[in-house]
Amino acid sequence: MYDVVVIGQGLAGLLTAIRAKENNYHVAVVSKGSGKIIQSTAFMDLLPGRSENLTGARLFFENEQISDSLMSEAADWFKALTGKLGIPYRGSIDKLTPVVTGAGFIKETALYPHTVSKIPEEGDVIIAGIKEIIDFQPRYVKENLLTEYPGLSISSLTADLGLKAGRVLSQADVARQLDEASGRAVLISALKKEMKKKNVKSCDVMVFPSCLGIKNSQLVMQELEEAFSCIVTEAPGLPPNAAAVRLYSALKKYAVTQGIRFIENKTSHSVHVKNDKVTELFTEGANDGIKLKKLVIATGGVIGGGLELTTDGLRDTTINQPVNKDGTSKHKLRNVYYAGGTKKVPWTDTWIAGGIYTICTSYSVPLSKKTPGGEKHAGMERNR
Amino acid sequence: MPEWSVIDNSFDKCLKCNACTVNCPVSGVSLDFGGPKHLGPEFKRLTDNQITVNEPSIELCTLCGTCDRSCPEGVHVSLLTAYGKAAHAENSGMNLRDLTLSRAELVGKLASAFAPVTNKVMKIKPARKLMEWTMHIPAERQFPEYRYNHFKKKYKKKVATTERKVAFFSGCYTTYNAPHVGEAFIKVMEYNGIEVALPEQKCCGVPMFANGQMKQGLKNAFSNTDSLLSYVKEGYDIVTTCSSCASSLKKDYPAFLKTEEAVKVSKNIYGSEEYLRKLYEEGELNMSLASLNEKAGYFSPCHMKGQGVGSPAMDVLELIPDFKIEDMDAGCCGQCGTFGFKKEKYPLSMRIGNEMRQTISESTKDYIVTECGMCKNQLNQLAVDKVKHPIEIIKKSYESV
Amino acid sequence: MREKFETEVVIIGGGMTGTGLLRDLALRGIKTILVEQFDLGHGTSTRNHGLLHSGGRYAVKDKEAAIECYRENIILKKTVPGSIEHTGGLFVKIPEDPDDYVNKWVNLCKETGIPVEEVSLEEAFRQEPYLNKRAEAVYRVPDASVDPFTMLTDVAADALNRGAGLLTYHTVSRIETKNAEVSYIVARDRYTGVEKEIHAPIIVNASGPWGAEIAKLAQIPLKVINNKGMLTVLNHRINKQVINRLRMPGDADIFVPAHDVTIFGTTGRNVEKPDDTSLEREEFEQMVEEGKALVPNLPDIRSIRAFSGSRPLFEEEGEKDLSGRNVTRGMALLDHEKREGLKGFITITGGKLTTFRYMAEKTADLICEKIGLHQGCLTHEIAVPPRQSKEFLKHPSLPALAKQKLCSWAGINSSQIHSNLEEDNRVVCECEQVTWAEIQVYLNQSNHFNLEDLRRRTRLGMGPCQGSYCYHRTAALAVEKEATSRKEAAEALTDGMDKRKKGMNVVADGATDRQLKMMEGVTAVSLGIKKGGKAHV
Repeated sequence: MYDVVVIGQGLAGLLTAIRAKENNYHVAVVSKGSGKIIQSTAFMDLLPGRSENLTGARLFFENEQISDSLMSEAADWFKALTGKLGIPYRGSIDKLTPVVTGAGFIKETALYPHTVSKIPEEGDVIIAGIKEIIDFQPRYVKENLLTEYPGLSISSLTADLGLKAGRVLSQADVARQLDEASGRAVLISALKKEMKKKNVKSCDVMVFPSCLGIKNSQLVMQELEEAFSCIVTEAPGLPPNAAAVRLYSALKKYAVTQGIRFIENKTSHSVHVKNDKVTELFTEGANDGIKLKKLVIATGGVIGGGLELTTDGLRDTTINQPVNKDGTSKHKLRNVYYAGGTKKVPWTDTWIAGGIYTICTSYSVPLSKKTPGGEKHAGMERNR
Repeated sequence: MPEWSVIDNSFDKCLKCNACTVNCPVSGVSLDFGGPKHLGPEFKRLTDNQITVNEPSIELCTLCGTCDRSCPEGVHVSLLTAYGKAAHAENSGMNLRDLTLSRAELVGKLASAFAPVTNKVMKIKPARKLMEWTMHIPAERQFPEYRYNHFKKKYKKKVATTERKVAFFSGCYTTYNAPHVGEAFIKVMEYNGIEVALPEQKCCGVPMFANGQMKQGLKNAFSNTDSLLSYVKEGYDIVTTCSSCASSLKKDYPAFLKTEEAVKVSKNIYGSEEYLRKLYEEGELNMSLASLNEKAGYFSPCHMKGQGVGSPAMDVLELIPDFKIEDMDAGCCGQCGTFGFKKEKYPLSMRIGNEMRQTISESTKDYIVTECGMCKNQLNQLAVDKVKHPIEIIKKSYESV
Repeated sequence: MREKFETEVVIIGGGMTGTGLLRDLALRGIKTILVEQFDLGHGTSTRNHGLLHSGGRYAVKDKEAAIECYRENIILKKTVPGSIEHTGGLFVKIPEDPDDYVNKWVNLCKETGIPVEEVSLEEAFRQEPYLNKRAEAVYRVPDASVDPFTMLTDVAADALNRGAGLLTYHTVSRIETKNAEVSYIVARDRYTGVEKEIHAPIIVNASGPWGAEIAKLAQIPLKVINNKGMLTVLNHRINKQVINRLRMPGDADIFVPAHDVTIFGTTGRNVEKPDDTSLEREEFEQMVEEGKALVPNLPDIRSIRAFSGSRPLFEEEGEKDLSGRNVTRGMALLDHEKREGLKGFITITGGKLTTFRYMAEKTADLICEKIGLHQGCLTHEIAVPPRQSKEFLKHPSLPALAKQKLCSWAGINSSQIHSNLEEDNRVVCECEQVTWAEIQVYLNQSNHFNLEDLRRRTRLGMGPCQGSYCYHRTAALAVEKEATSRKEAAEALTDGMDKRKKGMNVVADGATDRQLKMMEGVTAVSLGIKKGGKAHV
């Protein structure tokens, strides 16, 4: 028996679980796979794919019962959490920050990881590709970035790490190489060699693919900034981005060590409902249901697989309840909550609700703090 | 052997998102490895109903199953790589070393029979050098010790008479290397008034599947299914202390055998702590557990995580008064069954185990708890001497009352 | 000033017929330029099953067509070896199909000379596990799978090697006639807008569904009925052999294995416009429903995209005199000098992919007759170079599957690919194991960067992700390697993605729907690319 069961281990699932654990609940995350967080850029966008700032976004958020104060409270919580995990996020919701993508375009985001910096409109920039990373091509990034900020003076170069591979390497693969001191040394010397060859002396900002470490991103940043005496930033693009894998790994490790249980490899398919409350969650191939007091659905909607588009409209795949147009259950289930992009939000046609919405909904799932002496620990009690 | 083109359409769902490769312990340390996405769904799609293609890097897959629980689309990645390994082994032949390692049961029988000698020899450097030279088993690799008085020698009960009865699948490791774990389980069941029978059983097949010995593995699987099913029909619950045996009986048998019998058996398989948790939830667990003022770290084996039952060892150990247990989330140990005993894979085994080594050796726990004998082997070699099976701790708590 | 060219024959339309004719004429030593409005095979020729008929399908309905098919089947297996996989084909009778058709079909096949062999049900189910277990009879015929993309590429390349001329992405805007005789055509470059004048005494209209429009440029009335058929690509190859239904040809009753996929179809609906390649969800669903007769769990098998193309069916106008040579009911060779008195204008239309060579032969014979050249056809004897390049199996650094791809693909480009691989051995498209080295070969051959053209030549983006990753990779790499400009790459990316999405949309449920949503999300949100290749801010 768990106090809280969260379906899904994407950003919403992990954050909700951590939040519930902070509030002293016994929590389990039930998941089929590792969530769409790994396909993300790890930028916490306000309105993904759109350019509205807070003034433009406020209307949308208010309709979703998310106030300014909740937004800033949730953002502070997220920043504190990531800070504690050694991957601090920066930025703000009030003033969006222009960052560069792996295609060289500027997008504005609210919160961004410590490996990312704002792109200035003027100055000297080096776009540093890595030969082993096919998903980031520096000249292409440069040409696109120039259309955004013509005032920049940009050079592009490619460092060859000399890695032999039996598969197509991703940014995350190279990030693991940079977690090791030897990998960082190879990168720095390869870059210096290229700079010399191309006669590039220095720059204000150096843009890398999203590969600046998974476990040791702080060290990677520190060593690169020292070696090139400039601002170092990564530009997430085609998944998997190291920034996303880093965030996922850190959140999950934290969740596990905090005692949150992970019931993985399990596809939820239905629930038992009693008095408008879900009491049990059933998963494929298991005899017994998972008993619970509160259920959080954090399945990422159509992209995450929690909802499916059929000719008859949306179908809920995890709890098998009829749903409204926005993906929420038609029957009012009193102990069921929604977090992140599970629910279709009005500002997106990509089904990506965005980091800020996810943080807010995960933070505010109404799981008030369990007070000692109040409701009893629903898990397995000691000393009985 | 069912055809490699066995109908499992799950690979159709692959979106090429790379979640499996990102989470794969081997891909994390080896760039030569094609990775689960390529060697699983991609490979299957590109060879189905076409000519056979031989990709040697499939040998690096350990069948840990991390890909399965990483895939957000429900692709049975390790089922595909298991068949890929079988096809590769069939194509390129098996060497004596892999064949030997895959026969864990036979090795166990022989090694136990000469146990005192075996254990000594495994610690003599020149002997190990010779083994490295002839068998490509690295001299530095620690081996688990074998027990002359192995479990099956001591415990022969075939029938249980209590109302709730358990058929124990002891597995090769408990049988030949750690009979005390089996004994602890019997004892814990005794405290709960449950009699334990030991059915006829063979190696679960995990080391065979991992070495591409699909035919032999399936033979064992069929035989175990037959034997266990007769117990299930008699109302027994099947319990094992080994997370890999549990994983195989629950997950691999129904997927590989595709028989109703295998499905039926799989639904009645429990890990030992999972079973205790079930007893607890049904209000039947003997709760007279004595306080244990100890501080332990839990190391979760990959084959445990893949079962999708949460962390029963944590759940049960938390019931012991004053006992402090924390999940270390230290990743994959890198031993990966027979993988870590192979010379050419040994460096990878060490690199995979690096995170575990760091996490565990930096911690201040009294000891580490894990269900898997192979994880224990690597923990012993890389990080810490004291490693216990959770059932040993439960037994101690009962005994201390 | 327009640039002027002189040649003996102009072919309008770079489908399989036009391309086949180009090679036929080149082999006969006749100077020819082919003008195609888009890429080779843009029309019907790449929008079909890729089935090399044994003739079995037509044995009852159209014996003459069946004979032609079987003859051409044998010739093409010999002369375009690199594009044909000898899969064999099964004709399967299910309970719903009429019993009396079976014997009639078997007898007519025998009469026609098509080898038919009965296959035991047990054997058929062993070979084809997806086949309906209610099947009552199964026969094997020498059907085969043909890759129209490679066939077009190879036939065109061989023609060019023999001195033929080819202008792709050129629209014919005018056909100039003088004294009831063709004089020249005006072709406009779609990319640059530059016009060219090509003078020739003979102009062949081989433009398939566009046949009526082209004829109109020469003031010739022509009635072509465009019969649109829809096909869907299954995510993986579910069958080893072609599977046909043993009944009178109908909708959605053929499954053709094509490399890593199976192509399933088709339908037939008359449409107004030649470039109508619209896709209807309802039509797809009907197809799947019908297809269940052969493959019962078809609804559970992922479709990665659908496409459609039009069969150009020639219809003789009322009482017009039949002076044209109506070779069979399937194909029409129209001599407009005899029909309407316009000297030098010929239309070849109708027919099948399987009979393209024969159509080209008959057209070339007519041309020879007109120009008084006594040179027989050679295309039934002289083969195009093969595609097999086994030496890639020994390549030291490629993944086994990428080697395998090159082994069956590299052909005449082998040595160039080998040297490209030394510089860069990366796999760009993982779904179909396409290497940058292959892409580079075709980039060098083309003046414009077009992802869809590269797709047709290499299978780039033909797998389940439909270019989600590899289209972007290829565009970025091409800019990186200075093979294209930023602007051209952006346009190609938008155009390519739009085309992929169109094909995916109609079959988008389950995995393909999520794939599509992921593709859109990554493009718009992660990469920040808005429609038109512009940034989103």
